[in-house]
Amino acid sequence: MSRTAAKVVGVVLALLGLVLTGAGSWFAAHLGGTGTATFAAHPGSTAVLVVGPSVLDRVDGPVRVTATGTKGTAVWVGLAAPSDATAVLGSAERDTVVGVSIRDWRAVTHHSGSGAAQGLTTADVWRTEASGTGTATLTVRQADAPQTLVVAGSGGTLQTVTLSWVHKAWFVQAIVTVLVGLALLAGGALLLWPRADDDDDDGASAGASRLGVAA
Amino acid sequence: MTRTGAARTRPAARRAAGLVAALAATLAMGGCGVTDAVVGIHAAPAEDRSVAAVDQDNAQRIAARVLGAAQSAQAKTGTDAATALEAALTGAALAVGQAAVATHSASATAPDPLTNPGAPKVLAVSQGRTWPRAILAATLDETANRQYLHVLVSSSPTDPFRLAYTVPMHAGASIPSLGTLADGAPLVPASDATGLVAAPQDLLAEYAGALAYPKAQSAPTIPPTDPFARSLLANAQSQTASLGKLGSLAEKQSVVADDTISFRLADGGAVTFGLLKRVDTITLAKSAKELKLPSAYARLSGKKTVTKSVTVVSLEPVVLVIPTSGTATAVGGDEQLVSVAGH
Repeated sequence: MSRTAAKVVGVVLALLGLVLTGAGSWFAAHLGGTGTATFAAHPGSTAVLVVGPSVLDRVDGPVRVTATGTKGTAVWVGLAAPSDATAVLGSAERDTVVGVSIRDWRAVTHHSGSGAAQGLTTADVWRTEASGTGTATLTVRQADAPQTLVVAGSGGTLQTVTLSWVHKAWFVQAIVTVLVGLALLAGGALLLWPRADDDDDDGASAGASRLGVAA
Repeated sequence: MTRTGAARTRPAARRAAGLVAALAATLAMGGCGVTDAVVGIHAAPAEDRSVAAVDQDNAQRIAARVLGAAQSAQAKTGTDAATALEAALTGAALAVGQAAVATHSASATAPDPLTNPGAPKVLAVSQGRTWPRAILAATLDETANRQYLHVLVSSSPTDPFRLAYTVPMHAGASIPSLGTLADGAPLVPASDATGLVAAPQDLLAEYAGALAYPKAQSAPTIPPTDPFARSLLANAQSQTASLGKLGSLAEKQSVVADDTISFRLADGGAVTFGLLKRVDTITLAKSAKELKLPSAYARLSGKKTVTKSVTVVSLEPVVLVIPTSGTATAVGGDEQLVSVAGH
């Protein structure tokens, strides 16, 4: 019975080890040596894209934002206090990033509002701004958190907005996960490996059982 | 036999238990139970809404931009000037700026503080995340060795800051501390006398009454002893002396109520920016046949001489420091000719 339990545990450990090794390897491959997690949103519309503090300010590290529009689009990125950004946007049409999906490395958006945002780029609420034709990049520091990021495009549509978090520990954790997975896999294999005393052990157990019945 | 069997089964059970414990620990550390803390994810910090509306760097950048735009606008003429002024100025500064442009060719009574504004130094930013918002900045005209105070105002989220006041400070005058820039200075409503010897609008009205000529009203809260008040009185007395028996001069001041802006000082007092409108009326005596107007006034009024009276309207942006006790003081003031009408 105890040998059977050990084999069951061995199977569980081996399976878990496989899962952790696979997951760790997958994360390590995506994060790279710098531990950079990049998520992309694909608005494909003229609405502004908004990233609030519930997404932007969750990790103690910089977030690099790169916005790309269709050819010739004047792309603008601004960073403001959350209440300021809300006040400036009013009820304007927007795609709000509400979370990220690790499965496909996608920024999950929610569409709301109506009408174009007015006076967006001339408002004096932006702590940092970046602009360019076709693309614009801005790095968000956490020193001024919380903050809301707004991306707008004029003369075209926003195609892709990528959010990249750099957290070196993530790569290390992925590697540790791989190593733990391999260790569990090895442990499971050891438990499952046939041993010389397997027959004796079974015999002893059977003998004990028989003795018990005899008593 | 039974003892031997039990002894052989216990190590296997212990191994299994140990492995299960290790498995549990692994799961807790980095498996299915991965916590946000392990990967460095935390809740976003809450927004503090009781700080300065604009951080120091941005306030500095905005002040430089707005003062530059105002300087550029006042250098323009015609319709270009009107458009540029409305884009860069608001409130009292717009009224004064428009008057300055309109009367520029006729008179140069007011100094032009934006000709060489120098690099602005931000003194205070309004506190909180509501609108209107204001920035108080100072510039030093090194040529004239004179300091100017500027108030920039943003009335709504989409309304960029524009220049609302530019007022020269009196020689030797100063403003008490407004606290740290990061904390911001709360704006004081014009009718709010909380902690002050008088509400800003009441004090401005008292000051305006004290500047009346020839019958000044009593002003126990703000005695008109500052250089601007003394200069107005001296000019009025000089004009009266010049007119002699040919006519009389009367000056009346009123507060342009909508344009008052006040910042709370660190000591609980306030610094108030207000706009006064002064109407000077010269009434000719019956014995006088006519009064010949100075060329600048003649150009504005369209008349070289008047036979009954002449009315001169001016705007006066002023800065008052309102303490928590004692008497208030005027620390800055200016005048800008607006119009001349002859009868």
